[in-house]
Amino acid sequence: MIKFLWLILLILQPFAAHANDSFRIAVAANFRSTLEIILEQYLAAQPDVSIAFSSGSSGSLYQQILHGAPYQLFLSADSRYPKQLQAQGLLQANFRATYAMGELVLWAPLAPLHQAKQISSNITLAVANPKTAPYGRAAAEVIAALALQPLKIIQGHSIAQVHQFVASGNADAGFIARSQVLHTGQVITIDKNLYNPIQQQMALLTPDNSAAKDFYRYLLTPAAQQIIRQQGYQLLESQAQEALLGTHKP
Amino acid sequence: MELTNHDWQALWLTIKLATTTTAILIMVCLPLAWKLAGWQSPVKILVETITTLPLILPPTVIGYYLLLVFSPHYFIGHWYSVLFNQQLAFSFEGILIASLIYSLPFALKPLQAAFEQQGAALSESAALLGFSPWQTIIHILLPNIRPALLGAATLTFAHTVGEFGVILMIGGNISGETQVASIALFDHVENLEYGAANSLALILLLFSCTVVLLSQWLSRKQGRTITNTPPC
Repeated sequence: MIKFLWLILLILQPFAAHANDSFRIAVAANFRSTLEIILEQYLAAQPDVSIAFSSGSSGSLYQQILHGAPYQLFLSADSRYPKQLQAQGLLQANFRATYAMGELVLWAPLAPLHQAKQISSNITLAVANPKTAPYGRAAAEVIAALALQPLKIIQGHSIAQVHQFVASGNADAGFIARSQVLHTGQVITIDKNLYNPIQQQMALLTPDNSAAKDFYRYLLTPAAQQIIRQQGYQLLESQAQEALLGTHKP
Repeated sequence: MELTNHDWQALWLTIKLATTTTAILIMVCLPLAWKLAGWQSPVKILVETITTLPLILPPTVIGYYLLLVFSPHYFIGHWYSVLFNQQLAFSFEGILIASLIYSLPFALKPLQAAFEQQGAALSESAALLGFSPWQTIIHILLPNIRPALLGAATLTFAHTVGEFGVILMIGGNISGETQVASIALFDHVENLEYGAANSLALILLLFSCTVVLLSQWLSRKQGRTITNTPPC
């Protein structure tokens, strides 16, 4: 029996957040590949640190955090969920910061489109759910601003699903993130004045974990920001100030 | 109750999808189950494997392949869009096809088991007594498998109501067309609308309880009638 208990402890051991040099990140699916690149560089310089991460939609990660999931750092795809965590007292104001500015693009690999406003009644258009996905919200704003009237608007539950709808040919065009189509053609740039900025914010949930805190700060350094921009994100408007002041208007 | 119009629409769509799926599957599976029950052929194991597959396949696998099949880039999707001038993905027809595949074993297995249990002797005796094949089916075979038939229909209906993963992958969340109740619930939770989520979840829970209760009661009741009345 004792042996059996030891076995269970041994199996569970990697999951315990015992040391201060290991932590877990909950990352929005759209930022996952960028995070992997950053982690590769970061961990090469910090061999003692161990970082695990889980990716998913910001909404479901938020739900998990709300119910006590063991994440120390949350990289959301927008500012809504970090703000909500702060409002619920699960996050201190000075540990919330914008780490990336998302860019919305229109991807139409096969349709004869050169501009978003050419979308007409022969196009099946895919967007992420405007109520939950930040890029979906931005897409809805563009659709309204240009008064686009496609044949049909399909909702994916994330921009990853929108990408799949378009890649499989079931949708002619889709609004997704620049970071998803860095190496693909037929990407149409969208005027940034047509949608409210997509502020991807992060939340440091356990400031007493020094490794997590170091990495939170690292993401705002020029070195990390350069990688983030190379992966299809925009320059931060006011990176760390907002985190320090905590006075960003919604 | 904090249900919006969209939620009622989603519930109605769920019932419509489940009813259509059940009706089609029962009609298809009755002859198929009968054929499979009496069939002696090496091909039988192959057919049984294929028809059992949806039972154990992750719904995401079904959804993933269906999206490829529905794509206008490939044969079936292309052929459908030429013929009907609309596409299969993100339409009611699309999620109906998905449900038919997803719930197939739930209709087929109980019926096949019932036919197998009944054996060939019954229909042979009926033939000897001068019943035509149709009379045998209507008066002998169908009344005899009634509990299994009701069980299969209830299970198929309930299983289709419980469908989530497949529709999430091929539905496109269109209100009134592909947004069924389970998807609407997921949407509410993601959107932090817990009031509406609670109401929808409660309705689905009560519904499922009722269905299970009903099918238990039916099977007991039917069980009694069968044992009390001699066959023929």
